[in-house]
Amino acid sequence: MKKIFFSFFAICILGSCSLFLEKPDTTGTVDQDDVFSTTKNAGSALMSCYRNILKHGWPGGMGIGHSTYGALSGEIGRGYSWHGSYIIAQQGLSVNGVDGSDSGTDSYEKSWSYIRQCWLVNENIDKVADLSEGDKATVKAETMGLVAYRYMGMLYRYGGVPIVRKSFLSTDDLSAPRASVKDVVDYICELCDAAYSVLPVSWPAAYTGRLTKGAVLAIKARTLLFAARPLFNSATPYLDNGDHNDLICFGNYDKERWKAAIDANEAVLAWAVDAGVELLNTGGAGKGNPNPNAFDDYAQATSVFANPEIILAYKLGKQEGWEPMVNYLCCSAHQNVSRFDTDANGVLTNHLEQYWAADGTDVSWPKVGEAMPHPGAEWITKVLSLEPRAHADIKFGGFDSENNPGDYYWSNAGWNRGGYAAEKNKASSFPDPINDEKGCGERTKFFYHAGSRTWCEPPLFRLAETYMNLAEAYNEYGNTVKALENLNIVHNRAGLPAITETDQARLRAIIQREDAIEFFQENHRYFDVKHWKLPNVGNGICGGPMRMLQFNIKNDEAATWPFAAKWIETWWDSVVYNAYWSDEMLLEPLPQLEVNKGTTVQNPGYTK
Amino acid sequence: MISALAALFIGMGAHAQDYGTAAVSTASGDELYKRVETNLTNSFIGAFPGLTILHGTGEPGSNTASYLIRGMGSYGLGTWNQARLFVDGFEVNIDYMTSISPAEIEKVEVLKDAAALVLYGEKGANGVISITTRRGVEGQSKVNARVRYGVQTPALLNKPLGSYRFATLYNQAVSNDKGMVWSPVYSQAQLDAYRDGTGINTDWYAKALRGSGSYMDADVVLNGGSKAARYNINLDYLGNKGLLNAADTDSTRNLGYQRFNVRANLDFNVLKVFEVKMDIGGRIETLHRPNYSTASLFSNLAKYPSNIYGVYDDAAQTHFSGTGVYPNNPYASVNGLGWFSVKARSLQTNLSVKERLDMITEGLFLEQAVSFYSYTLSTYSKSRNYARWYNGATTTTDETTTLTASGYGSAGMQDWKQGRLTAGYDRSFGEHNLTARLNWGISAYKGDGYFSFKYNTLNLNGLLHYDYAHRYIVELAFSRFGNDAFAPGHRWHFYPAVSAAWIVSNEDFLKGSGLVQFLKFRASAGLTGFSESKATNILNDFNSNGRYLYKDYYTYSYIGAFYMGSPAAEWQNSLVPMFNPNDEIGPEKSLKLNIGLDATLFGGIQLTADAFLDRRTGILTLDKSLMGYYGKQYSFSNIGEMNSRGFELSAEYSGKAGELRYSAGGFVSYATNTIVNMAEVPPANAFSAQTGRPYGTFIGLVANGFYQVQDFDDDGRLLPGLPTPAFGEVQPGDVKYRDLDDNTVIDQNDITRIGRSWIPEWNFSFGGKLAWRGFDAEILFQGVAGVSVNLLDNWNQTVAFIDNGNAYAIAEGAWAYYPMEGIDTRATATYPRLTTQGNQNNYRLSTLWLKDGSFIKLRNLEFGYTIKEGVRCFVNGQNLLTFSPLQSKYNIDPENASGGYPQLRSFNAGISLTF
Repeated sequence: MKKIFFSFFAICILGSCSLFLEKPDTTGTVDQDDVFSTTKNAGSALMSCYRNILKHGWPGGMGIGHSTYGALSGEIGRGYSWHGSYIIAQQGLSVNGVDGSDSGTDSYEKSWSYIRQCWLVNENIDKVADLSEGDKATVKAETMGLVAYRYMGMLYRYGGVPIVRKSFLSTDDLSAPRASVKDVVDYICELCDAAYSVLPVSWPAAYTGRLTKGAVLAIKARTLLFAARPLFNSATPYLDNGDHNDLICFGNYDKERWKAAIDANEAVLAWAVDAGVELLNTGGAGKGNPNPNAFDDYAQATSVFANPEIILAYKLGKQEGWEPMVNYLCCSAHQNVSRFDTDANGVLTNHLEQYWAADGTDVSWPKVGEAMPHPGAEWITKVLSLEPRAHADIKFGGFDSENNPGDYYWSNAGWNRGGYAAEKNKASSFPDPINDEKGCGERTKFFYHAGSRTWCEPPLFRLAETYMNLAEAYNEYGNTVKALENLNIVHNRAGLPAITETDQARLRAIIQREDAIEFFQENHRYFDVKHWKLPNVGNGICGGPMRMLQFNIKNDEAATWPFAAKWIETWWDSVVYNAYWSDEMLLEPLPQLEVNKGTTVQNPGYTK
Repeated sequence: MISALAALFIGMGAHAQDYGTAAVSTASGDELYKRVETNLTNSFIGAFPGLTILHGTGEPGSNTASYLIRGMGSYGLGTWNQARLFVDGFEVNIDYMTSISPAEIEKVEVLKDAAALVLYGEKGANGVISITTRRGVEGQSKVNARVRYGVQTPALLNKPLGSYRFATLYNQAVSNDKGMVWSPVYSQAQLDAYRDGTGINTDWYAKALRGSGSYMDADVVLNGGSKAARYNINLDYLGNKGLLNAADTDSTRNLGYQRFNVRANLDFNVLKVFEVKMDIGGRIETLHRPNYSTASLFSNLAKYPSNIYGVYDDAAQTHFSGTGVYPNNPYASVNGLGWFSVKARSLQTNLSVKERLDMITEGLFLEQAVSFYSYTLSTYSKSRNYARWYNGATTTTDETTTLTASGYGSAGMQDWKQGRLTAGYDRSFGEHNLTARLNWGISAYKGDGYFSFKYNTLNLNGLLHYDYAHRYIVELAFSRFGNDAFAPGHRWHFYPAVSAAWIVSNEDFLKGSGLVQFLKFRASAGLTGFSESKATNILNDFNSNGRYLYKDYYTYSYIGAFYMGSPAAEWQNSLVPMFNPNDEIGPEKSLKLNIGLDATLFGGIQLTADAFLDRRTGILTLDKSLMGYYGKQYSFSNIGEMNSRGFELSAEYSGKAGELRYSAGGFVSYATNTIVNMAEVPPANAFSAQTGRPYGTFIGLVANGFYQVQDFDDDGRLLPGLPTPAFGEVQPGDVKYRDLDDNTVIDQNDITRIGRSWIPEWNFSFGGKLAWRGFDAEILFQGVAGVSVNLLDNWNQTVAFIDNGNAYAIAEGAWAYYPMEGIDTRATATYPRLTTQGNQNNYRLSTLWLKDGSFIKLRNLEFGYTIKEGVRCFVNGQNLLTFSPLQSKYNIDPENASGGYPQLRSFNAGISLTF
């Protein structure tokens, strides 16, 4: 009996243990060996690199959780009080992060996490058995291009950052300090050059969205443009950073950096010819003349998926539930689901004033401090006088959205979204705001003929950028003719008569204004204005008074919400808030947590 | 009072409880029955020294208490309710335990020290709550039937200001936002209308809630049997109606909960050798509520001001009011959306067979036991929607729809299979008494979830208990525990413990002493472990609970997809790496030391005292010291350390004077801890660190009054010389903070310890009983101390006006200075100046918002009368009084500081029949 008893125990204890405690059948879990055993899995790992890297800076895309950077650079209102954009507009950039960022408007730590993912794919792709050598080389090139994209974003946010060339092991020496601006620029170019030699000119349709030669050329072109701009291309930094000024500027002004930017952008144009990428201009008016199809061309270039003007876009196939990246970008039908993401981001007068009239002249808008409000009829004439891009970008208060003509849900009557800053019988509010959230209207860019579609594919590089980069760089380099030529390609396409200004400083201002209009909501301006070191960046651009038009609606029984423009009795401009600005905000802060570890130097002006 | 460890594993009675060496607190099912609670965990309050506990809310279905055994030993889970739960020797989860009826329970034990916990191995480090159910007693059949009915009212509702006071303050807020220029939004005429009652002034709490809910329970217990077969059969019903103002109709439902429990515990003696136990415990629970989450409803009640609109927009009362800003009219949320219900079924079946092998050698036995547990949850609802009206027009896209029934569907299930083989030996040789056990246990749990849905463990454990003459007792015990969470080669861990006791009262020099009837000293030391961790959000996000960190897993469940292709873009899977794999990861370990004494003195005083140390090492911790550009924050290792310490002291005196019998007693327990190492990145200033402080300590800014007008120049800029706040522009009336590091900037580097932890350090209870002839009475007080509460956790009831919020009495202390309007609170302000805009400076954790969360509550007062033998009727009141600085100053219940569904006060009457 005793024997039976003990052998019983022995069998149970020794026999079953090893099996019973084996890795349980956790569903859907693959380890690194599994990932790089098949093309399909490795492809999935590559797709997550695309997703994570290319989201950089878009709402919820590892920056602030709500709003585009336009809410921090005078394009649109700051949003609701829990939005990162609101908090930053109120208190400036924080070393501790806000609304999903870990400092400023970015997620520094996640950048590194994603770069590591790219390197892991790069280092392990050779293990995949059923993938050709050529495809492996392409995947490696794609990961290098993606690393370059994220470095480019970090460069114009932070200046120099550590250079990481592989996936670290925990046993590696991890004490790499921040590299200089120069080294990071060189590193991005090195990655782009290496990727360029391998990547295809273009992909077959089914692979649209992946990096091409043109995409890495565009990364390099934008990087070199930022390298040439005044913030980095300077003998003295914007604020003194002691022994670490090379982290935030080159330490000298070199005009040839503009030449490098010109060459890199011309290379994009050369590639575009091979790849069939071109600026949409279907009017046939000829070079130097206004494009009669300006509205449709501009709207399609920014809205239609994979249109010929796109160099690289963030691809989305369908409504992805609560995907903030697109839901927070617009006033699409998503607002019917939750308006709290977007409907307090009305268009600011600060931005409205950038638009040209359709005939290429300036438009005069109400000014803060005027003695009298303006009559309502004037609003209608002003809106009608605006250039086509304004109508594609904005659904103006009281008007139907021109982006979706004939679609009831995009008409003013069907408008069940944020609307505009209008209220009945509010004449007495003048000159104060009636409403500090809605402004003169809402964003409709990216939603040309969208109907009920709630998603869009945010363009990361459009060929229009290349022309505008060239216009800027040629003007700085002293070649006004080429500057005007490139500027007018974009300006004429928008249906406007050619610019002829030849004074460098005045032309510079015009180019900057063109950038502000053409790239509204494309996350350009927040970085452009800082790197241009505009003197009034804190006074009406990123910081300072933010203004919205206010509309007093006639006290008439027949006027019902949403109010058509004909019911506007008076309107005026009001300062709705003052956005915080301080010069250290020219570059983003690094996370306090990272600085506390002792190896990483903070940017100047952010205490400790 | 103190039961022995061994008793747990061999059922009752093998050892007299007096001979144990462990620290265990015990309460009987009869004692717990006196707390009229829907959720068993709430009846633990005041019953167990060493159990840190806060009462759950009164919301049926979401009312589990918050408890910890001997405080927070580890930040690994860092949450309440970490103790492992066992019923009749088999593990159960909290879903099962919360709904056991006290009528089923013989006793509940809280196991606290290494001697009591060592056998549990990696389930033991955070303590164990062990429940033993009633068994049949040999003898004549007995029937006990009991029924109770009660009325429940909210113990406390913190209602907002009425329209007049709201509007008055709102005018101040708007004026403050306009540079302190008086710019009222509400005209004097509007204010007058609010004041004289002609304006809108809706008390949403009164509209959406009813005055009281109800409670009813009934149980029947049959007990008896012969030497060959004994039974205890229990049938139990509980019904609980909530506080929502909705009738139970086809289209509306009040919040309510119903429960049916059946339990049959059977014992058979077969031949002379076999003892068989067959236990079946089953239960069906149903919860129904309006088709709107109760949490959202209470958030709206707190947030919606009184003057927004009335319940209906039209005189005919057919259109519910609602606006874009306030779309969810609380009354309509309860009555206009249909209802929702959830049903849970659970069954635990245990079978054990014991063979007495005295024929081989006296005292030897074998036992085999299995336990099967299954649980399913299903949902059913009927939903509809209503159009929101305001001033005769609809304001949102919602339309009134007809009632639609949902499909009846599953909402989760669990099963748990456990087995145990035991070899035991109990024998006495003269003065030498020996007990030995060797157990082999297997546990396989499957629940819902991703990485944490399946848990397999093995546990080989045993003990040797030696007692010399009931005077000197030594016990050695161990567990060799195998856990599937870890890498091969790191799955097995060994946990030993040693304990001893000296029963002084059995020594010759004390025997028969009138002074000391019983006196025992105890000491124990040993190791236990714990293998789950949610130490960081990352472990939580991936639902990993710290499991399988040795694998370089990739996941595609959490990040969404990427698209590729044109014209129609195709969905592409995406895979991301989760953790930096680490083979070395194992359980955290707890070294527990305990000394204690149990005494009975002067014939009527019972005393128990314990003091403990708990040294926790190897807490699974995110290694934050790696630089960011390493690129993988998710790197874990067993590097965390914490030390806990504390004591428990309980005393009871009982006596008799003629026909009057009386007793009085109470306990006090104290537990605190220090974080020794949590891989914290050293903050800029040492005084901001969490390391070196108790877990959960509030670390924030030190408020230093409010900015005054004279702190600013004529342009509204802060005067030079004053430190610059880094949380945005400030103006007079904003909170001023101390610049602790004297660097002229006030920012997050100026935070320091500003209060206690959210876990109470002190727990105590006291009370008494009286009995005279047929009458009896009982009273129980309980409380906690050494705890802090952050008012900002109750954002809706603390922060006025922001995000279209409400205003409460606390906002009436706001700083304001409008001399022309006769408003000047500069000298007396207790609250920052009001604003309608987000404010990063004022509403952040600081001493201004951190309050003392201590309280004493009168938990139970009962009067009973025994009409005749076996027939007793009684009335009682629960949660009758609260003494709390937080409640008296801010009208906030310290146990419900976040302001959700209130706690309840109840008055009950019942009768008990035994025949």
